[in-house]
Amino acid sequence: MRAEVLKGHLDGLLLAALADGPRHGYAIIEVLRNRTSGSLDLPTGTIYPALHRLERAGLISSTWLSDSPRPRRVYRLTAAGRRGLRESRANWAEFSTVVSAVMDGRPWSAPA
Amino acid sequence: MVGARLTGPRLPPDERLPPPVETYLAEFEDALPTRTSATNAILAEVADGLLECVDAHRAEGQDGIRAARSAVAEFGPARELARAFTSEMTGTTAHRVGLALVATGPVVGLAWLTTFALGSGSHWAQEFPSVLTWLPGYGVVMFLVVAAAVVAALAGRGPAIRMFPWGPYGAATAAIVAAVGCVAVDTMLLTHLGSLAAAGALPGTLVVIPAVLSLARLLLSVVAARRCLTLRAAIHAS
Repeated sequence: MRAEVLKGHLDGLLLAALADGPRHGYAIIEVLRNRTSGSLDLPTGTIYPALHRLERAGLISSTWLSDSPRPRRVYRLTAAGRRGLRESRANWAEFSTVVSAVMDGRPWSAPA
Repeated sequence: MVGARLTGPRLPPDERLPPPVETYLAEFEDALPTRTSATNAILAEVADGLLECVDAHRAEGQDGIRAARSAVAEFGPARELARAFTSEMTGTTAHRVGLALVATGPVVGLAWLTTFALGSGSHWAQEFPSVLTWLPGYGVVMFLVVAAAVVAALAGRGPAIRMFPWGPYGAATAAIVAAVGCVAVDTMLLTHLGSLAAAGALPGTLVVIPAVLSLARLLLSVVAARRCLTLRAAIHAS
């Protein structure tokens, strides 16, 4: 799956990768790969600026680990990030249901 | 060595980087428009990610150089990565400039009003209408500075950025307007102070503190405006 297909969903994916606890940039990339058996083919470099964007928006925060062999920045969800993740999950569930309905030729009615 | 002239988090001096990684980081550093401790932190983070990626490829059975080349390829072009980071640096810088101007404004303003009040023997609050009378346009420029600084602080970083659709570029523009306006305000005040001191209306000892504060803010505003201009230009460059 290529990066452009994921446009608009990257933030939700990154927040979901941090739902279990703090992680550094490359560990987040590995979570995305492992959970999709390598189907997500994101250029690794795109993840880091995206993490900075989420931090700038107050959805995640970062700290530098001092007990690692080299400087390592670790990210964690903020309270706003946890709310953002819930919104992303709800939006994705609705989006995927709607698109699946169209693709499969099934009728779909919006919840009241 | 990458990042050697910067402060903040950095790779340990004895960390040996594979040549493809060293080349990639050098190109990445060259493509970043400014050199600050934030730049150093970004370099350290990208270097850590690259070395983790090299280790992952080595664990898959690749030799050192091949693993390093694979890691570099996986990260994508260094200049594109630098440009993506530039946008983030621009937003954060605009936020800090906006916050600094909002925070220092009342301090500098109060120092000026107190000086004028001590010179005339009145209460400082009574001096504000006098300043507006002496300096036509001061109130308008001051309002513009405060408004632009607040927009830069809110649009550059924090939960409110969603309310400002123009992104880091717009936040930097607001920060530039605020900083340039601040230069105008401080120039007006210093010029006015000079004329009062020349006429003997204010004792020299009274004017030192506000003059130093205004001069310091004026110089910092020039630096801030230049940095924001550089970052903003780099967002759309190349």
